[in-house]
Amino acid sequence: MGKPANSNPMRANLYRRMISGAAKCVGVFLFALISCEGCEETEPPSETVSPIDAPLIALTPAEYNATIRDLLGMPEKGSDWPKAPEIASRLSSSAGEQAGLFGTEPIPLAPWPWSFPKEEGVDDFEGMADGQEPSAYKLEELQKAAVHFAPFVLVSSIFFTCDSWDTLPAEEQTSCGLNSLERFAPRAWRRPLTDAEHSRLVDFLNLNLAKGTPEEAIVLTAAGILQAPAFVFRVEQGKDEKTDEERVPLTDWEMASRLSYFLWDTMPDPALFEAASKGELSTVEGIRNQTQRMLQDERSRDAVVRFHHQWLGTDQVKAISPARRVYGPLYGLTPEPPLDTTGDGDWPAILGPVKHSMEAEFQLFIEHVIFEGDATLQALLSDNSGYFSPLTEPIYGDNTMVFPEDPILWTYGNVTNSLGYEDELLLYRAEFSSNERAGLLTLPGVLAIGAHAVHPAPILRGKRVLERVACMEFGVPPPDAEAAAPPDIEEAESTNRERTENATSPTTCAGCHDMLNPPGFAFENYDAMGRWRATDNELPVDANGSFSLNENESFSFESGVDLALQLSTSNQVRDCYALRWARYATGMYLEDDEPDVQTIQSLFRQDDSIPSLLESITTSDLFRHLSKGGAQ
Amino acid sequence: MIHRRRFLQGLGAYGASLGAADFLTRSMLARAQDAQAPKRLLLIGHCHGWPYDAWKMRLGSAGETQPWAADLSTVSQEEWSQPLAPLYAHRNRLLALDGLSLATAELDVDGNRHDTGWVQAWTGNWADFTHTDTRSTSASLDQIVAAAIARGDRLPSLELSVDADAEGGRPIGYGLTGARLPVANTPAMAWQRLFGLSSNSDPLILRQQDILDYAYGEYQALLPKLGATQRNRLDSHYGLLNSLGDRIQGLAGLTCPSMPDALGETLGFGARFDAFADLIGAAFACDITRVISLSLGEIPTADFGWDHLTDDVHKGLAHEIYNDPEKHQAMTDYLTMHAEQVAQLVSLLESIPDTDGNSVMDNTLIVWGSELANGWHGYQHYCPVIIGGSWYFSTGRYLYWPHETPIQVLTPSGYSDFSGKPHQHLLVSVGQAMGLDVTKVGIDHVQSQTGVRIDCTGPLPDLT
Repeated sequence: MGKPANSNPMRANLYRRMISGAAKCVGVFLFALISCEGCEETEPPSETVSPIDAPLIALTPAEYNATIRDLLGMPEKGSDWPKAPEIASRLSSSAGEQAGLFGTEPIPLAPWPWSFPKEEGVDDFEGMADGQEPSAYKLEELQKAAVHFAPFVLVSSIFFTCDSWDTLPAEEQTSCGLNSLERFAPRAWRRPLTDAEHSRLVDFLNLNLAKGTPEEAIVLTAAGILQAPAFVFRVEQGKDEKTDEERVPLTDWEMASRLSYFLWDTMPDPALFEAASKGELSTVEGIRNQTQRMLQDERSRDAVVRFHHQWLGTDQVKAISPARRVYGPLYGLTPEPPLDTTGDGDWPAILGPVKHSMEAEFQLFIEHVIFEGDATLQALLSDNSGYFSPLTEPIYGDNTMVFPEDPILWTYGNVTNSLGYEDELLLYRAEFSSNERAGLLTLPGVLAIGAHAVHPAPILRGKRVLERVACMEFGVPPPDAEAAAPPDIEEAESTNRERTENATSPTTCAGCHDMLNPPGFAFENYDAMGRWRATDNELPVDANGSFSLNENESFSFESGVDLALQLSTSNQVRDCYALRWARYATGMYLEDDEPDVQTIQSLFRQDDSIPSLLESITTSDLFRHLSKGGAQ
Repeated sequence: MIHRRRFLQGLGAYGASLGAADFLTRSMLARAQDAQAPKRLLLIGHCHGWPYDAWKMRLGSAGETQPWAADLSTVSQEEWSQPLAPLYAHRNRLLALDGLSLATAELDVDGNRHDTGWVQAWTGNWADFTHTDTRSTSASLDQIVAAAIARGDRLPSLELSVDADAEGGRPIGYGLTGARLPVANTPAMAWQRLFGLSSNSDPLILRQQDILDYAYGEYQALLPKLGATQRNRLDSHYGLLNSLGDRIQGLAGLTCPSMPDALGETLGFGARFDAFADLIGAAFACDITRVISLSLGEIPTADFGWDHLTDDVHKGLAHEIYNDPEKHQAMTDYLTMHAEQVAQLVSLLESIPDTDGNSVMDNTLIVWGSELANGWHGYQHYCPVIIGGSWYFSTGRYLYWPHETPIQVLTPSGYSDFSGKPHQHLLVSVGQAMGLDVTKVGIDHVQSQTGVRIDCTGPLPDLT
């Protein structure tokens, strides 16, 4: 390839002439973009070299998909999207391919979201500068996605600047198409275009018009916009002023994107664009106002929940594999499937929806505590209310007091016996026994990912508490560590704790396991599906233990609930939570000895308010500046 | 039947009428004798496994307590089992593997056993059914190989499925996300994928190059304004984008003398298989792709002579192989027909000259497996066949290993104490044969129901 096809200036001029009266003023189409007054105050993107060597972060898969949805004004569910225009099948040589399941009809593939490879990530967090490795596969998917989504501009309710575009004469189609793309491009790139960018866009449209119909030209031009670096990446150059050697302030447009992708996982909305255009995001007050507004918006719920999924690794709940022979009877099944194989799908048919219920319970709990409850970390780690469905009722048991509220309808997809389907769950808010449940760490979904098929895994559970909740680092276990773990079998002579203690007692293990085991043993009252149990192998469960996080914070406990309540007021846990949010917000692997981080942590220690924490992050110098760093 | 004559007419008899046929370009001919031909991989998966007692061979005094290997060139055709006999002509290319199990699928709690098996067979990894479509937790073998050996300017891989008319294909291929790859389940669709760009069926497809050029231009314009770290990152990204452009250019500009005619609707399983075989031959011969997966749906019972009993292969025959000897025989005939089809495909690839003077088959590795060990939904006796890959494998043999892996797998008489070797070892062997530096594909170890740690890494023993 090497050179862009429209690089010939004569050819570019030829095509430019084809559209008469093309708008050249950046402010004009920005005005159309945000429908605001005062666009003359717009600050154009920098044409100079960025004064700092900062990292470059791409949209994460979740951010890409949400941005596409909002850019096109499409429904939340892919199955509700309009049918792709006919041109889509002409653009892709593989369009129309289908995938089916055993013995079923072909399954139409939902047009959205696009399935991108998961990012390598840092500590399971996506959107981190050091966790986004470019790959040929990712590139190919980005290219396919752009070509796939671009035709949807033709059926988008917010793309065209004119009515009934498809019925207009060709000349008017061209003119309206240009206007529409001029509104589309700055929204896609989350900032006004420079004159040079605008010129190239018009050239590209003209090139496409010269080769085909207005419809083809609009779609191909839109596809180009979606493959440009300004769409795929969150390009930040900062203002042309250096505050010190390490930082430059972000432009208002860059701040709008930072806020939006941090708090919503999607592109800025018109109000945020307007604030940027007025220069309001250059002030702490303006950012504070936007942060507070955005946290009131429904979009912040999914984004905040997604942070917590990544924090605790709870996406893995979809991969749990409790054994039918142990847990099947809880749901009325025989321990083994019938030998004629007719019942071999029974357990998966139950387990699949159970996993979805666990995931829903986690999400609803987070939402309730942060958006309707105390909104504190203490509440996240101690609140004994939550949600259950008929599918997880056997796990929570009888000590449940259901609140007199309407249940929440939860839609999920699953495959059972070769049949892909969508179904619904009803989730009820309830208060659970305060002896059995206390916040996130005692949710079945969190407990189940720290378990094997038969028995709970206290080492995994302890490691999750210490590493993810308290920010301690243990590194990679030695290669023979797993082989030394006790076998996960039903026929065992002692308790799970005793077997684990025996396996980890050698001095070569004790260095780490003296720390790892106690917070894991605290949760021995919960089996592999997170169900409360007083006995293990007919012996009383011993969940006692003690450990220290630092010289000032030691914990001595009798149960998982006891430990969770103590962790909920721990300074180190609060510092860790604040640090993880700060890393997530900036995409940088910050250390907690950085002054800005310490300021954020200090404020959070004082009031334990999660909304205030997010606000202190967005208004911090750390968030408002482009910082050096990020090994890429 | 594969339309061998038509195919050969299209290809030109490379050895016999080289100049006149003019099917291969002069440049291809010029480098024919000194160029190293590319290696290709073809994965074939059929439904319902193998009626093991009919498939297996017990040669000479070989027992079942010790591993053994038999030289197939010394075995008379009469001694071959019915389902393997159609491959007799290709015996020197063969490795028949007796002693594996889909043992890890037995430990996978998800899905029904067909679905789990389709995922496990080719990804070697756990299934994921918590979406409305089937997924794996890692890429399938074909995609792992394609990522390593694909030409940048051609299709990395091609996914095909021969099915009954009502079905949408059983995926073999799962991408790096674990998402299943769509399949072309009609020859027309596959033809479009292979030759759509070069045949200019719709010039719009070619204009994707303009999109890439525009994006590349934006990248170049942005580059000087960025710091070194950001520049490096964009360089990596748009350098890769360049290779996408190469692919579009490469596919658009390719000349493929063996290109079959564009195909309309193709009725019947056999006709579709033949058409797909032609397309596979052309795709390999013209180096349009080096990796293909071919998923075989159910052959209608009429095609293998059992429609007097039932129209339903799955429930009418496959489920009943241990209950009814007649249905066991029917499934043996079903498998035999697949073997005939595979044998014809091998013959076809043998008839195509390659750029190194050998045949395309000489540079191709075929792995033929299934989603189950048998139609009863068992995972015990998984009997894959390797055909080709003689540059790496010591072919021409039947290998037997006793079942000594302590994973309990379901059998009609209850759970067995032992299974065969986990099939992940086969996937590793194939990966290594294709030049990959891999020691594991999918799951690296499991813990058996009795608490024994089972290592799934490394290749199968004694294949090379």
